[in-house]
Amino acid sequence: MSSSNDTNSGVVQVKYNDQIVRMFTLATIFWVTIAMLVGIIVALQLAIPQLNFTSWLTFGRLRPLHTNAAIYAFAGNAIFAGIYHSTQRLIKTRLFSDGLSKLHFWGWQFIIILAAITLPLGISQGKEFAELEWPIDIAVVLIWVVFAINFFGTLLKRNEKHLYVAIWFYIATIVTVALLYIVNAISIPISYTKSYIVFAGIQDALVQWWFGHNAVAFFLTTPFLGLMYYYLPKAANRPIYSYRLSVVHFWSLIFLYIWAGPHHLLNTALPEWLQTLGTVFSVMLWAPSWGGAVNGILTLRGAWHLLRTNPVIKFLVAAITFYAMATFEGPLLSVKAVNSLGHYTDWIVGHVHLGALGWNGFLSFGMIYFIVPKLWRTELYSKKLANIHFWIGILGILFYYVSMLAAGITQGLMWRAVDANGSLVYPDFVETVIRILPLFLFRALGGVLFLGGFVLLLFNIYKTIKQAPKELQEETVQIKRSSPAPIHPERGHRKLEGMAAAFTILALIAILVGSIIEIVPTLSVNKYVNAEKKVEPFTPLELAGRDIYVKEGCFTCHSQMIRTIPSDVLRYGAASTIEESMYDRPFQWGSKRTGPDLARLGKKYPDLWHYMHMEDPRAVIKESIMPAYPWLITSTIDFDSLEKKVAVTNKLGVPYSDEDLSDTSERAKEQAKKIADLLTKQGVKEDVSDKKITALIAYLQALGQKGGE
Amino acid sequence: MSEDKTPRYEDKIIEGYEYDGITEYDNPCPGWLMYIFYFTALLAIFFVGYHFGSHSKDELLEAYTIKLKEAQTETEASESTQQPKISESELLALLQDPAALAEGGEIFGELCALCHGESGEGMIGPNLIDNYWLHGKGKISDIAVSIRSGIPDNGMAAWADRIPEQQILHTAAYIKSIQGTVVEDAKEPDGELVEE
Repeated sequence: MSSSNDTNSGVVQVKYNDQIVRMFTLATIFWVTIAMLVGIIVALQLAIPQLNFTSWLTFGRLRPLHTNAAIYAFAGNAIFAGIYHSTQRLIKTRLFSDGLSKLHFWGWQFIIILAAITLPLGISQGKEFAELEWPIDIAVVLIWVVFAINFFGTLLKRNEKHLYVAIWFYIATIVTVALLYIVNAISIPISYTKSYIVFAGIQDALVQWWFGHNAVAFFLTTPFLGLMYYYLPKAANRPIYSYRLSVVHFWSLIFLYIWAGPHHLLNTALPEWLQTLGTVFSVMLWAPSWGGAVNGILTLRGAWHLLRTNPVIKFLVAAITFYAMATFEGPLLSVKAVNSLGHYTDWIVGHVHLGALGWNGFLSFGMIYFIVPKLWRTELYSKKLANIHFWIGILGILFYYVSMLAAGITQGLMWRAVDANGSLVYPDFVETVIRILPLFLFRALGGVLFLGGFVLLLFNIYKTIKQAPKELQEETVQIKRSSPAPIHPERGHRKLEGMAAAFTILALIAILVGSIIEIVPTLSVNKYVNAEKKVEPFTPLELAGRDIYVKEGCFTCHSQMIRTIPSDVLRYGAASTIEESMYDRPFQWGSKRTGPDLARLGKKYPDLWHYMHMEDPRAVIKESIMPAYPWLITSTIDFDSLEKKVAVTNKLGVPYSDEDLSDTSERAKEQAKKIADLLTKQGVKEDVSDKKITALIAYLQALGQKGGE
Repeated sequence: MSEDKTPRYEDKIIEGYEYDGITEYDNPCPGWLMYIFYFTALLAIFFVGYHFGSHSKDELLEAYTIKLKEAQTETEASESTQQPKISESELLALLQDPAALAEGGEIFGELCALCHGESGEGMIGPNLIDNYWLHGKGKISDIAVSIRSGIPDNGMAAWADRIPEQQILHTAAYIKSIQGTVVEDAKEPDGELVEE
C-alpha cells in the first residue's frame, strides 16, 4: 500500500494512482478514433451500397462493431478514466489495488479486441448492443466485477466520510450495469461461437430493451453525470448550484429510468400495460434528467466569462446542452403518437447521436482537455486548436442531427401517406429510400466533420504529452485522518452519504423495483399467449437460415414487427401477434427499417426472386441500397450443428417433432434439395442444395407462415 | 474558492462539506423544474388511469381496425366510380404505332425484363405472352393499371411516379403486342384464362 501513516499526528500521505488514469485516457482517445472511423464507413455504406466489399465488411456486421466500439470501447474507457481519476480525489484515497486496476485495464482492452474480431466475422447473439457471444460476455462480467471490487474496495478505505454526488452516480452505474448485462446475456451455448438466448419472443424483447434502454441510462448517462459533477465545478472553480437538487434528481432519475425500456416497443405486440408504463415513465423522466442539466448550467452562474476563454468549459457546457436537448426529445418520442412516426426511422438514429456525439463525446473531450495537462504535469499545447475542434465538432453534430431528423420525418411521413382511396401513396418501399439518400450523404459529412475536429484533439494531446516532463511523479496529498466532528448530528441523506454500503443497497433497491414489476410477469409467457393460436416451429433448415439471418445482422436494417397502426398494416399485412414470435431466440423485431419489414415476407416472392436478390439486390430492385451477399451462394450450410441446435431449442420449449429431433440433418437436407431443385429448374446453374442461400431462402419463405395470426 | 466581490445571488454555501475543493450551495430545487415534474406525474397518473380504467385493453388495436375499415370502404366506393381516362379503342391504336411500340419495348427491356424475362416469357414474375391474367383482363388499360400501381404484395414496383404516363401506355401496348408469341421454356400459365 502506498499510503504511509504517521500515527503521531494523524496525518496521512496519499499517493494517487495516476498511471491507470493515463492509460485509460489514452485508450479512450484511441478507441474514439476507431469507433468514429467505422461510423463513417457504415454511414457511407448506406448511401453507396457498393462499399460493402466483402462478407466481414458489410453493413450488417460493421454496424454492431460501430455501436459496440462507441459504447464499450470509447464511453467505457472514458468513464473508467474519469471515475478512477475523480474518485481517488473525492475520497482522498488511492485506488484499492494497483493489480486489479491493471487487470481491469488490460482485460477491458482484450475484450474490445475480441469484439473487433468476432463481430466482423458474424459471431453475434443478434441483440443490439449485446451482440457479443457468450465467452466474451463472461469476460465482460468478470472484468466488471474486477472494476466493482476495485471501486468499492477504494470506498471502504476512504479518507473522506461523505460520498459526493459524483460517487452516487458511479455506484448506481456499477450496480445496475452488472445486473442488466448478466440478465440480458443468459444463454445456452451450442458451440464457442453460437448460443441461444433463454428468453424468447416478447420476453426477449422486453429484457433486451430493459437492457438496451438502461445501457443508455447507466452506461452513457449516470456515469457521465457523475463526471460532470466533478469536472464542471473543478474546471469552473464554482460551487455546485444546489445540493438538494442533486439529491432529488439522482434518486428520481435512477428510480424512474429503469421502467422506461418498453418505449422501444411502442405500438408492437407487447402487452399494452407495459407500453403504457414505458410511456409514462419516459415522460416523467423529463424533469429528473433536466435536473442534472440545470444543476450543471446554474453552477456556472457568475462564471459565464469562462465560456469565452476556457475550452474545457465550452465542451462541458455544450455537452450539457445537448444532454438537455436529447432528454427532452426522448420523452417526446415516447409518446405513442410521436413514436408511431419516428420509430424505425433515422430520427431515432439522430436522437441517439445527439446524445452520443453531443453529450458523451463533448463531455469526454472536455474531460480529456482538462485531465491530460494535469496528469502529465504540463499545460495544454494549444487552446486555439481546442477551440477550433469545438466549433468543427458542433458543426458536425448539427449536420448529423439535422439531416437525420429530416430523413426520419420525411420517410416516416411517406410510409404513412395514404391517398383518398385509402391506399398507400408510396407502396414501393424503395421510393421512400431514394428520397432520403442525399441526407445520408449529409450525415456522413457530419461524421467526417466530427472526426476531423477530433483529429485536432489527437494532435493537440500528442503535442501536450510530448512537452511533459520525463519523470511523472504521482500526485501526493497530505490529509488529516481524524475528521472533525460534525457541526450538528446528521440526519437523512447526509447520514446516508456516510454509509457506502447502505447507499449501494438503497440504489440497488431503487432500480430493482421497476425491473421486477415489468419483467417478472412476462417470465410466465403463457399468460399472454393464446393457446388456440397454434404456431409451428421453424423446420431445422429454416432454423439454420434464421441463424444466417442473425449472423449477417439483417436485423440492423429489417424489422419483423408489424405495428398496430394502419399504415403498417396496409403496407405489410395484419399486425404481428405475440404468438408469432414466441419461439424466436433471439427475437428479431428490430429497431430500424432501412429496408422494409419482413414479418410476413414468406410466400410473397418466388424463391428465384430471393436468390437473385441476395446475389445482387440491384438486379431485382434497381435503386436498392442493400448489400449483395454473394458468399451465401458459395459457402455451405453447417448441417452437423443442427441436431444440437434443434435439441437445445426443444429443451427451451420449442415443440419439435420426434422426427425433427432424431433425423435433424436428413430432414434439413431433404428440404434444401427441394428448394435447390426448383431453383435449378428456374434457371439457376449451380446446385445450391448445401449452400447457405438455400437455408436463408427457406427461412425467409417461412416468415409469417407458421400460424399465430 | 473564487469569490464574487458583489454577491448577486443569495446563495449560501453548505459549511462542513467539501470534496477536493468542490463545495455546494444550499439552494432549493428550481420551482419551474419541480412544476414540470408535477405536471408529468399528473399526466402519468391520468394516462395510467385512463388506460387501466377503460373497458378495452386493446384500444390501439381497436382504433386501427376501425380506421382500416373506413379506409377500405372508401376504396371500394371510389374504385366502382373510377372511369378509364382513355378508351380502349384509342389505346388499341397504339398497336399500329411502331414508334410507340419501339419505345415501349425499350422500357420493357430495361425495367420489366428483370422479372418477366427478355421476351416476356416469365421468370420471377408471370409470363406476359399467353392469355392468362392474374390482374385485370389483359386489356391495355388493365396492363397500364398494373404498371402504374404495381402489385406490391408480390413485389412488383409501382412505376406511376417514376416514368411518364405516356411511356406507361406505350409499355402496356408493347406487352399487348407480344401476346401469343411463343418462347421456348416459357413459364407455365398463371391466372385466369381470358378469351377474346
